[in-house]
Amino acid sequence: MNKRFPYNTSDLKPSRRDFMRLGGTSLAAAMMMRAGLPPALAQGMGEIPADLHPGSPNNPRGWATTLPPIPEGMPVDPPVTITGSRRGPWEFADGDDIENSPFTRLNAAVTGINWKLAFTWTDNEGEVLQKYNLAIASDELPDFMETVPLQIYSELLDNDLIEDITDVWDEVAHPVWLKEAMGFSDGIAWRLAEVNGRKMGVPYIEQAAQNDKVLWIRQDWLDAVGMSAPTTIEELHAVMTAFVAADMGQGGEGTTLGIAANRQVNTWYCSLDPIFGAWGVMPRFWTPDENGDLQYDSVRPEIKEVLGTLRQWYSEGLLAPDFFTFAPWQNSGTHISGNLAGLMYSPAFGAVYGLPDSVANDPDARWAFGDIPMGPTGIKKKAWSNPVPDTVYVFRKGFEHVDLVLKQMAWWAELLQNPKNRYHGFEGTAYFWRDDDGEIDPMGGTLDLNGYDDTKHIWGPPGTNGGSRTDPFYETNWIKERRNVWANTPDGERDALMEAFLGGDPLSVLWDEANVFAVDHWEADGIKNHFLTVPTRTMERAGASLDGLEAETYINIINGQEPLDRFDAFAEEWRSGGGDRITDEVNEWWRGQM
Amino acid sequence: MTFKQYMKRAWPLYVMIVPGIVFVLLFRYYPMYGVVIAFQDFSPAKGFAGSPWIGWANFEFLFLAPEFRRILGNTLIISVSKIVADQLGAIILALLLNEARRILFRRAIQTLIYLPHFLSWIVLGGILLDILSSGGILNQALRSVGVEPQLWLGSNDWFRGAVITSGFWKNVGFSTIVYLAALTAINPVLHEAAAIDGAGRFRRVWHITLPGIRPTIVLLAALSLGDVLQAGFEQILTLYNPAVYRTGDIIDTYVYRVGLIRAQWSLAGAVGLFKSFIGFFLIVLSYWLADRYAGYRIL
Repeated sequence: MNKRFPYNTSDLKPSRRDFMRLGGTSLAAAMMMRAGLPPALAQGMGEIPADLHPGSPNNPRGWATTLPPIPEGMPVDPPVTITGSRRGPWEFADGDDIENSPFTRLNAAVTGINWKLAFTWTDNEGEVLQKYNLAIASDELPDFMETVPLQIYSELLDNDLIEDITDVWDEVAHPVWLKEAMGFSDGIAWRLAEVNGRKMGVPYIEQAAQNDKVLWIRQDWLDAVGMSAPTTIEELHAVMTAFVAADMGQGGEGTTLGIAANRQVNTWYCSLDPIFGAWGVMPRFWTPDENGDLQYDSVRPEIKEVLGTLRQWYSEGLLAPDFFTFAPWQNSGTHISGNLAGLMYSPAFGAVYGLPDSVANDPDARWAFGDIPMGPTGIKKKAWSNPVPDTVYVFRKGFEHVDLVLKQMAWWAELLQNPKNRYHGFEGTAYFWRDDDGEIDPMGGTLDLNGYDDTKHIWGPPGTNGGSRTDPFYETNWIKERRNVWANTPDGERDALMEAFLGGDPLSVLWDEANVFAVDHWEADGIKNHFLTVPTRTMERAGASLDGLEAETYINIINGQEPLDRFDAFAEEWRSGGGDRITDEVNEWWRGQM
Repeated sequence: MTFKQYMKRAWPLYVMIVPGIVFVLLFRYYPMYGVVIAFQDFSPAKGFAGSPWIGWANFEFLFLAPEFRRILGNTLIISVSKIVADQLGAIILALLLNEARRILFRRAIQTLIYLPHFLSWIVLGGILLDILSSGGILNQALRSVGVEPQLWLGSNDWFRGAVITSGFWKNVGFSTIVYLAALTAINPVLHEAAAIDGAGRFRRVWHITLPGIRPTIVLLAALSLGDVLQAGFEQILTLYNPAVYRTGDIIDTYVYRVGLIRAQWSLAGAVGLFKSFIGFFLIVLSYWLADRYAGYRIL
């Protein structure tokens, strides 16, 4: 057993399911009781100067943040300096910067690590590649490389520029907050970071079910047409038809839409993926066939049935005549905020993206969410949003302090991700106290959580701009904890943090509820994309042509410019135009994963 | 004057152009060795020296791509239409503005049509998408006068027209200013003499104004030949969608999808080199034409 940490892994094995069932509320307590530790881990806390502590314990309506125990052997003496690359942008109070902020000061006191900025980027498509390529070409790689894009990662691997962290990980990584937390969904987190059984980096992990769709419905429209929330695609069709027939929308005459959609059928907002899922297929995903080999769903015959259905809907005027000229983010600005559509398949965060404008433009608008309707044969599936994007954290070959960085990660992960610690950032950085006039008031008043998610200022997971964590259920556990505290605390005794989260805007409460709902359905209803690695050789070459052909064919079939049977010709063109070779390459990789 | 005497007098001038020459060599010619990546399977980690050579493979891939004919055709059709519409429109607008009596009116119009030139396509793209959408302001206006709404950006019948028209709207002001400048160079005495001889407005435009700016027209038309492979990358990227790939996908947008998003540096480099190669001949041709028909030469 690993003696570096107070937790004994054999005593406590809360599975992810336990974690969910316990709802985070009693998890920490349960773990500590099982480990025979007092609930308040005061060990080491005295060594941290009070002015470095997060939270605002001295405020009459404030609360204290519990700091996890300082890892063994830390802070290291003498302190070490580690260079790292960072994704921007960021903003700090006067005099602070990315190398000297409340986070780095607390971090230095706990770990003895001083972080030094090697380079930074803000544009995550072009600029990030340039910066990393420059660092590679000039042979000046930082010790720690944040959110390395896939192309760069494979380049670094090909040229043997990355430190193999397998042994250090096995020895040092925290059993709960790193090893256990990252073990969800059959270890999918490691698909990229592990190469030939060796750990070459730390996975980047986002929230579970982040882009998993729920069906957002205008409840007031439903009531107006006297219908209830659809549970099947057939009922969905009936509701859409009723909305359009009654011209419920706010736009010009005859502009009401059945459902909001855009040029990408499987995407993050106003997607149609649950329609495809109702027939058990998922465009652009690689899924196992009956023999266990991977197949490209976009060319499966079932797709033709879905396209036929969508084509029918389009001809009935249920989709916008020009839906395919819109990109996903443009839906919110027109169809949703303009109240043209009363239905959309969007993630939980749809509650605060598009809907606030919808309600502002139509104060009677009442939005609700429901489960996705099932298909004709009873299938209810949607695209499983992978919390492991195409990026990893890696260390420069020859870097000596991987162990220190892993310990730092675990400490912050525990601080942030155990809801019992009630971490909520630093006063004056993440939040402000305001009085009734909106003036900043250091004592009392209400809480302004503007910039609450400022954990991006921490170096490495669980920080990072973009929201990387080590536990994909972190946000959901937090929500459950908040709701639990809210329910069990009498009115007037709730602290400002809970009020700021739960006392205000009904749409953010709806977001929380939808989040918990989506996470609960994440594993059961999700179709997973199993191809999670760098593009194959033929994908690099022919991929753009094939993707273009696919997008063009799908849209032109739906909007009636091409006959439905065009799909068969497309599938054939896809196979002969490189798709067969890609399938072989993908399965070659897939067999290597077994 | 001997060479020595000449240099004694002229050396400061030569010293003064040294920074310019160094700049051009350093920032224009020195980076050109980067075109070698068009013939390599380039990887930044291996660098220019270490990346494997693959000959013409990138060019073969481009020319044999199933879309090549389509994207080349679209590029040529869109860019030539744009050049023609731009030049004709600018000449007509310049002539009209030149005849306007009130200076204030002329200045106001000139400023208004010049304004869109300063907006980025990313901003304009969002605005146009809204204006041209199925329920957008244009279709609503058409419906109110009994015309069927059209999918301006969504149908292969209208997409090129929408691109050319919106490009015209954005750029015509700039071209107009060049012609207006040329018009001020015409000696007013000619106009006065023609007016005394009894020539009307149209006669004067036909016989004095147009011949007066003929060299400018020929020159600008010839020089725009060099842009024949530039159909407007940013504009099309913000306006197009998969349904109009058939009429709207150009070389640049294709390369963007193939090359940059997928980090195929070498392929993108090959396309750049191909475009430069064609552009080089067109520029030589345009200078020859400019010399032949407008008396404009650089040497």
